[in-house]
Amino acid sequence: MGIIIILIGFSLTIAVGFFFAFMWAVKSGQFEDDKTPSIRMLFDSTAPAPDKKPKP
Amino acid sequence: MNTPVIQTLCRHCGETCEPEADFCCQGCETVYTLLHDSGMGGYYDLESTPGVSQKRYSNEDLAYLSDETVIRKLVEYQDDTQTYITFSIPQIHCSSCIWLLEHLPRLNAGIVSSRVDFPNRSVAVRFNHAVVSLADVVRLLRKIGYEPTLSLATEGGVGRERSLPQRRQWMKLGLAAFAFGNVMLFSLPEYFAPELLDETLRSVFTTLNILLSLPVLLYSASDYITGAWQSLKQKYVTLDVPIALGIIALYAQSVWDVASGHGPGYFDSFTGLIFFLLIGKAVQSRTYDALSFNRTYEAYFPLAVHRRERDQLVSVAVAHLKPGDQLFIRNMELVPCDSLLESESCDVDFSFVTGESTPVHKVKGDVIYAGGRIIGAAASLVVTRTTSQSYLTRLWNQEYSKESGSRSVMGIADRISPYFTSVVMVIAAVSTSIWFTIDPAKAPMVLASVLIIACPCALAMAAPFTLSAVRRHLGRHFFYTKNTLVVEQLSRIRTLLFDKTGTLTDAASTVSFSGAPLSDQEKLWFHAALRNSTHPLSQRFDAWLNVQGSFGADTYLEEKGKGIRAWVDRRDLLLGSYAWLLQSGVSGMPATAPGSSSVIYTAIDGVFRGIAEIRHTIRKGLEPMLSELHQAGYDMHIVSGDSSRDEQALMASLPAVASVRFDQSPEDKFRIVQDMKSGSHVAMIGDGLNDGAALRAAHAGIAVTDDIHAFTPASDAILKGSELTKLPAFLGFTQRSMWVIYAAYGLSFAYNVVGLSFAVQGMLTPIVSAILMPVSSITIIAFTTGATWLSAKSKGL
Repeated sequence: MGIIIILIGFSLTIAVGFFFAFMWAVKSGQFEDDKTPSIRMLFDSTAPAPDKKPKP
Repeated sequence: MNTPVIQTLCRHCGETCEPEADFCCQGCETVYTLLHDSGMGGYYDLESTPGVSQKRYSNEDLAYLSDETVIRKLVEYQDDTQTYITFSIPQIHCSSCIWLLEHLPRLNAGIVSSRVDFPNRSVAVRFNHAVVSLADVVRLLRKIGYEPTLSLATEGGVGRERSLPQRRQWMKLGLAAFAFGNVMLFSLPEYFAPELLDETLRSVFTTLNILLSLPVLLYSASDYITGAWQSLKQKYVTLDVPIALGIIALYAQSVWDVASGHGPGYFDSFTGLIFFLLIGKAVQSRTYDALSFNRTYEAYFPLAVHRRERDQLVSVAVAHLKPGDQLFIRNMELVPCDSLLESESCDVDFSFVTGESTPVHKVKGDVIYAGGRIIGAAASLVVTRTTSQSYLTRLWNQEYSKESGSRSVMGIADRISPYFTSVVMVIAAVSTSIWFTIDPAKAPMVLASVLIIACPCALAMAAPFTLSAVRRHLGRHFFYTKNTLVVEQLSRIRTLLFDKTGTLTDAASTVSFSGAPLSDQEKLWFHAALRNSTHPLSQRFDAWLNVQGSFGADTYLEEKGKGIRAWVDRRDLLLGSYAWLLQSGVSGMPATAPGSSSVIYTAIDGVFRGIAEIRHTIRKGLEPMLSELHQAGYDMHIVSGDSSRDEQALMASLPAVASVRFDQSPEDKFRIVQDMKSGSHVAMIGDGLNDGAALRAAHAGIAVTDDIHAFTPASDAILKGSELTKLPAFLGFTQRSMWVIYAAYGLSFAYNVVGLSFAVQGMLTPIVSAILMPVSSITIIAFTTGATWLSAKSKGL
């Protein structure tokens, strides 16, 4: 039966880890703006090549 | 000369431009060039013509942004090197906007980072204030077409501070969910295979349960306990009281069970209960981020104006103005406080104050109320009252202080709570005293059981879930309510007060031209003359002409308040008042226009051409809507700040309206609402700032606007103008939703009766409670959501 107690210890540690991950997510504002990140991730992170200005 | 046929769209903003031009205006071209030169042409790759038109580019002096007190009010946080500020930018509308605004550091090296919050229409900027000033940042934003809305009233309204309560709620919910999940795992063996549990395991499980539920009691459930305490202190029983009683009884009984070795306790029910309650709370507190329901008059006023100081114009913050200061207000700027006119004369658009859009002519010595917009030539004014003491501001404040003092608005759940609580108390007292005679040892446990099972979890969830579902349905039809209380208020409305300007009439006005119909050629000429004018009548006439001109005016002269004289294509054009044309030597005009003051006389080469009459029209579908509301038994009235004769006739012709009142000042409207409130539930439906006080005074104030994200006065609900005709359906739907709530209450009472029958017999075991509580919560959620959906469908929403 002792093994169950050890396993519970492990699983609780993991669960607490996820709980703190959730806390961090809330604190970093991820639950307030759920729209912008979905658009932001589609932007190219590299600077675009110095583009030639199309002749207006 | 032929009418041009080739139309091009501005490469920056997508507006139609002059033929063969790439941009609609100089400003758009500047932005386009700037972005390409900084290697940011990617802006135009994400969406086509994403820009914001630069035609309305304002040129306000930003000197006041160097004022320390102004800076301190606007920024969120400032350390030795960096400043953090969140700008509210309503123009943000697409992914290109986000891309551009998040690449601000590339346009100015002093900006460290910028991050867009799209739902909130704001951008959080961090900049190095040793390198760039706040004014520079605002200037840059303005240059690329995203002028932030700066106002002291937005203080704390944008940015991080606003979301703190929301975050706390998420944390509480997260903690409850975490504890609920784990506690349930530790409790299940007890229910299904108690024979497998030995003593050590059992004590480990119960200890863990206690430890996991303790933070739930202390943190997640804290709102209910403090809420109950506060309401008891004010000698009032809100729904928090029975909930807090149930929570405490549940936890105490569980700890007692464990301590006395009597059983495993009700920790799973306890954490589950808090979890479901908090879900209800989270659903209820959903807000529309981009909308503001709490704008004050200050939000409309500029942050700074020009003050004359020893023959110099200095930009000063409005808050620093004192009576006696001499102001210099330019075309299209707002007068920030009540003042006396010092210039010889000027035209003022009082549409904010009175709703009347035709400018009023004022002469030297006249009082100009705060909120008036100067049209045409700049004017000198002397301040008589500070902004906070001005007529409109006081009107608003007076009402506001009164409203916050009373607890007149209470949700349905809180209203039935005293009755509910007293019934529970009677049952608890009776059953406990009966048990004292049968088995005194069991009596405390029965008392706790009754309090536990009667905990109005389902009751607490019925209203939030129904009303939030209603808000979602209404929001889909561009009817945005401030909170769930507003929905309840709407369901009780019996009297409707409509404002005229912009609410009942269409924003687009119609123009009738008396005289021979204008040829395309003539329209082009008039357009060339009119497009330079900022006068509202000129702009409406121009919009009605609906042509894209190929002429520029060779000479252009506009006498404010009188008319325009322009040379176009070698023609002498005159547009303006009767007096203006007469003085320019035009003869043979009919002296008085048919009925209205909103007219433009026109002449070409000194020959009278005709009269353009600008009229408001009634919104489409308005008459059937009024009849429908009348049949549904609503009492309807029109109050208008307008005084124009022909519009009075127009309004009087509307069906089913009990009374029509004209020439009403903002204060009159407020009084009318106050009077009607004593006899009935009143909704005020208006649009302008002039309705602000009345909107706040009414049980439900509905602001009608054609642009949802534009400024609207403080109100309970915001309705898109085009959806106004759905009002009967909206109101009917809110009434049905109240029936859904009553039905859900019936359901939860049935659960309570079942639960109580266990409790009074002393048979409430942990497993009974562990099943009954989630089942009742989930059926309530399912029932309210489904029933609300059905009633929305039946109302065609």
